[in-house]
Amino acid sequence: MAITKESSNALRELGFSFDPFAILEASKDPRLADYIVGHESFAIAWQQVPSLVFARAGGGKTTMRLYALQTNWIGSGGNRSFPISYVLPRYTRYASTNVLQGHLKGLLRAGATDLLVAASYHPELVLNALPSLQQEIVTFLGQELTEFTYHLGRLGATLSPVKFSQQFERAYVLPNPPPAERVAALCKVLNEWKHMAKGNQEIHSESLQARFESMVELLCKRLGFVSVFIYLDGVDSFPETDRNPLAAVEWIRPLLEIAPYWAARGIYLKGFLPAETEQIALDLVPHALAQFRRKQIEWTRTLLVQLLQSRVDAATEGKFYELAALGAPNVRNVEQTLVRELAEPLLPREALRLGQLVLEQLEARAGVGNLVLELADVERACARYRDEYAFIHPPAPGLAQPHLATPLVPA
Amino acid sequence: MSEQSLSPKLQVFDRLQAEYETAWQDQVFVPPSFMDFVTGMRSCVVFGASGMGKTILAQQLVRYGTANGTLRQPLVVTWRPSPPQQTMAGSTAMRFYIRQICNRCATTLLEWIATNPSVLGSLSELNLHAFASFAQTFTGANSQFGLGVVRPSNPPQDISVISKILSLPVTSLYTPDSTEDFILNQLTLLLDVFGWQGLWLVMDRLEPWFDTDPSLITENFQSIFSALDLFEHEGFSWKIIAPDNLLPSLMASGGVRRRRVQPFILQWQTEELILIAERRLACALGKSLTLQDLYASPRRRASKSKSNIEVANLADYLKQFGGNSPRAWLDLLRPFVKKYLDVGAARRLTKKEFDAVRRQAAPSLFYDLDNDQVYVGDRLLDGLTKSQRNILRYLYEHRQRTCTKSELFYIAHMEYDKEPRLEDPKWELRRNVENAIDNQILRLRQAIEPDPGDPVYILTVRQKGIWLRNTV
Repeated sequence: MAITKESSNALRELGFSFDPFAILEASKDPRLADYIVGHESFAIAWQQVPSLVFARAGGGKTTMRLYALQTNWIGSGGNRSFPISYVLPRYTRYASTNVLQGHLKGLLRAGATDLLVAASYHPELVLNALPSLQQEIVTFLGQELTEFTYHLGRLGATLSPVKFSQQFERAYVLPNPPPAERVAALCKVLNEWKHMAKGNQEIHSESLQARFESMVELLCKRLGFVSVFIYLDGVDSFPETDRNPLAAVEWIRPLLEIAPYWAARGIYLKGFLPAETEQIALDLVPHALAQFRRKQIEWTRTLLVQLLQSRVDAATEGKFYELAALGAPNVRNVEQTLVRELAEPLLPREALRLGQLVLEQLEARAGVGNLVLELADVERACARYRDEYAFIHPPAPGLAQPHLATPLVPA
Repeated sequence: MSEQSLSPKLQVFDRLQAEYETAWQDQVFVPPSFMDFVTGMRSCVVFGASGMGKTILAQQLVRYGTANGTLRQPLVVTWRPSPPQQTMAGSTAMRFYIRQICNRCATTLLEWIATNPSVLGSLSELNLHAFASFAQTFTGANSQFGLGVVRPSNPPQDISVISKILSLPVTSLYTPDSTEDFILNQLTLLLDVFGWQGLWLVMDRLEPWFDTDPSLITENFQSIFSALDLFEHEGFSWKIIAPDNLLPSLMASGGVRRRRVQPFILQWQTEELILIAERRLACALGKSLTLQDLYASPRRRASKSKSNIEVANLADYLKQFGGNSPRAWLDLLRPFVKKYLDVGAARRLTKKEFDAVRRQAAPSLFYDLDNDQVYVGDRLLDGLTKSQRNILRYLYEHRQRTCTKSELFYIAHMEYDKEPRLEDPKWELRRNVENAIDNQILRLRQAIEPDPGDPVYILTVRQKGIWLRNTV
């Protein structure tokens, strides 16, 4: 829906401080932590073991990764693991040769980025460190982040870890950011040591493997993290791997194979992978897969109702949690009605899309009609969803092809 | 069909191409029912056949994005991709096009800054350097030659601002290894710094690509649409207006399947087509006019009439031959508007005048022999029997002459190689031949002709046979 003045006013009139269903992609949603559901069963994401979580597209992989990332920084007291978000399109390119080298390069870049972001939220990591360690941190950042100076400048300009981390991933927001003066102190120290960063010639003299091990040593032995978690995500985000789970598995195969070796050294690979890759990975690298704890994300209709309601609750700041609160007296159990429309496999993204369509019916009347949710609005939203779904997922050839009807517009 | 108009009033019916209609586009544009859905920050792809109004929609999106009264506006960047120089696929193709897009974004930003030079003064050194790095990298420009990337119509003082940016000594943020994720992140950051809500990348006019290598084009676009990361940047919204040839491949791409990109089909209900026609009429004539005001059919005649077919009213006629295409409707409407003007523009056309125009300006019949499809105007003809289709095809293949009923019967209808001789067992009595063909011709006229009693396509030539006219 166009963010017009009328529609934003309409949402405000309805009691929303933001549109609860505006964002379908978890990585774009800075409020994700406010309404996550179903996370209790995924403890393997923050245990000291290599783990793989499988889910279908739209099934919550990235949400789980982000939740694990945030939980890592919030919980665990002093026994904290250092999380590296290795989101493949962010740090590397698809390759079918020299694959492990490509991943190591990407991991170094990801690790450096995450260390800088971590320091912005926890300046004490650097401020409380001995000068030699401070120097080592800056040397590492300068070596592995070609844009270190630029990123440092940006952090110094905003003094906001939230704005800083959101450059990399909009949903990457940790609670309780430090005050601006602490961030300023951090930037001052990092700038002071920056001139000590090694030149490129020295980088090339070390192998990627050696540099990777140096990074782990820095994080664990010197900065005091108990281990390193590598959160692997985005494997299907490339043209070569979209709809090609075999190519996806082949690409990350070196990581799966090295994971047991890493685990012995306190580096735990935690993959968030498409469901279609599980069996292929089991067939291709059975010995490596045996070292991983595995979990599939599956959704029930009850959980999806909770998902929708938790968003409404967050968006209304607790004023209400059901869409029926917006409705005429005969409008009830809207979330249940929406979730009943969903075909198997049940996916949160599809449930959110239905929520979008319901609110869009109301917003279309913004400025010209009443803003009470009617049964007809819910029915229209469901009809539109059915059309859309059938269009995006057509039946097999030979069967009647669906027609995407133009969306019904409220009278 | 539409010759260049001598009457200024008919200009709005002349070219029927959005590129030439900017002067009156706002008056005639009818937004599709999903307009609200596409004018937000979500990425979308709108598919449409030729003549359905894709380009006018793209142009209106550009206008909407730059002057829609929202709280903050998106920067609108139009992009017409150039075909790849060589066969590329997958991530390679994706990278090639992202760099083209960044080139367009950099150029658009430079043009904008050239008209708003005070913006530079409010930028911090960090942001200035970041922008200069982006502009220099993606225009491939230096201070000497980069000025050519911007429109030469800028006044001189604007050029100096651009020159300053392109010549600023900066260490580039971008290396050959820079991922598309990083590049787009930096772009959206820059847009935020400049106060833009984000960016709309509007892409249109992809039809010429299909003249070169359709499979390469669809493959390349599928690669872009399957690079999911391209659709995950808050503030970067794709608005793609695509020919329906791309529909199968893009619908199968990850971007659409996973709801990163919302698909729509540009199609029109009859009421909307009538509105499109009437808005154009109003624009042409300077007064509000309905199709009924132009021509309204008389009452159905009594059964004694020789013609038992009701004369269509104007909307029905447009629907019959224009199908669901706005361009076809307007093309068909033009001769009636001309006649209306010729008779003084003060009264409805009479039935006689309507019929005369209908005969004179009948839309052409086209038989696609390769695909065995028949079009009358923009309407695809369906429901013909095999025999009717054979006869029509034969008439079309021999449209330069009159075909005898005998050849139509034996060769088209009976599918013999040639007309049999009298002694041939396949030979039929003449009256049987003529009755059979007369029956088929009657049914063909009922299917094709606006008035079967007064045909314009399938004409009987006395003593000779049947002649198919008004073809292309």
